[in-house]
Amino acid sequence: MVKTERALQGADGTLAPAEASAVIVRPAVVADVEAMAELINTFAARGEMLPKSLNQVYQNVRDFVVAEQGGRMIGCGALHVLWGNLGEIRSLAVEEPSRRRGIGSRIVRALLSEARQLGLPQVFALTYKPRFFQALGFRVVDRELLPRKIWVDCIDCVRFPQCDEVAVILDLEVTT
Amino acid sequence: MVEIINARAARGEILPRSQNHVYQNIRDFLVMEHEGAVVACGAMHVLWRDLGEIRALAAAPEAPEGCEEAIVRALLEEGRRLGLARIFAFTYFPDFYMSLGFVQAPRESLPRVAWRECIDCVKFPACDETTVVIDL
Repeated sequence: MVKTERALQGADGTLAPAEASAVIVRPAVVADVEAMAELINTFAARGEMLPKSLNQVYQNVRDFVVAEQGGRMIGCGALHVLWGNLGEIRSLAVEEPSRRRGIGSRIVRALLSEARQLGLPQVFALTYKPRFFQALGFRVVDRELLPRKIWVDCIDCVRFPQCDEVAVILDLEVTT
Repeated sequence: MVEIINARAARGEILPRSQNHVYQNIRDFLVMEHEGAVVACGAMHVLWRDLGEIRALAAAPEAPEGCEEAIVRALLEEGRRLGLARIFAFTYFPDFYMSLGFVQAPRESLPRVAWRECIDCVKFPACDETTVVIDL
């Protein structure tokens, strides 16, 4: 038996986009990449998150989920696996007109559900909005306490070493 | 997965992979379980909107017959789900892939993004693998 490591569709992804008003959260496909990169880079241009190249988004397309309404992408977010014990939430973006509707929370919850499926015991994020993550159960931690592994990506960041983001972390109950 | 891949790599049949590489690309992978243990694995990496690559296909000695074929088929299915038009592999075993519907192609017919990993390969630029592609 071949087991896929990715079976998110059941919870959120297979809802038919019948009602134009319903927001669905589903795993990204390659056709979503250009819209995701555009959304991410709009916020990146304002300094709210890190920019991503099309290449980065394509090569990590399976890290992403998208929120969609009436066939239009209104948000996205990624969960990147760093090591056997640690994942990172990245590139969480919801378009301006769709804010304050809980869409970001739904995206994060979908990503956390994937993290559980993958067997990750901890997920962190570096963010300017720690309260958003705290409302989802994350706790603020000293950045220096995160494993050194995460700095492999940080040293390539345009803001390194002047990072002013806040580290938040969540322990997951691993069931697999 | 890393053990199975690197055992095959030690025979010179595929490229070795670090634990870091496998963790960071874990979503590319499928595993085959047999009697509760992982006995084979394979990865499909998305390179661009229309292009994916099969990598790190390997089976342990105790894996059942035909498991690599089953993994490739599942990876192609994953390629279809993601909306990819074409999947390629660099391989020493073109007959295996051709039995699954791949065709041989000149390496140069692939877009340059396919070479991204190659420049870090120990064999670059004297690659002697065969390029196989399948249109989905």
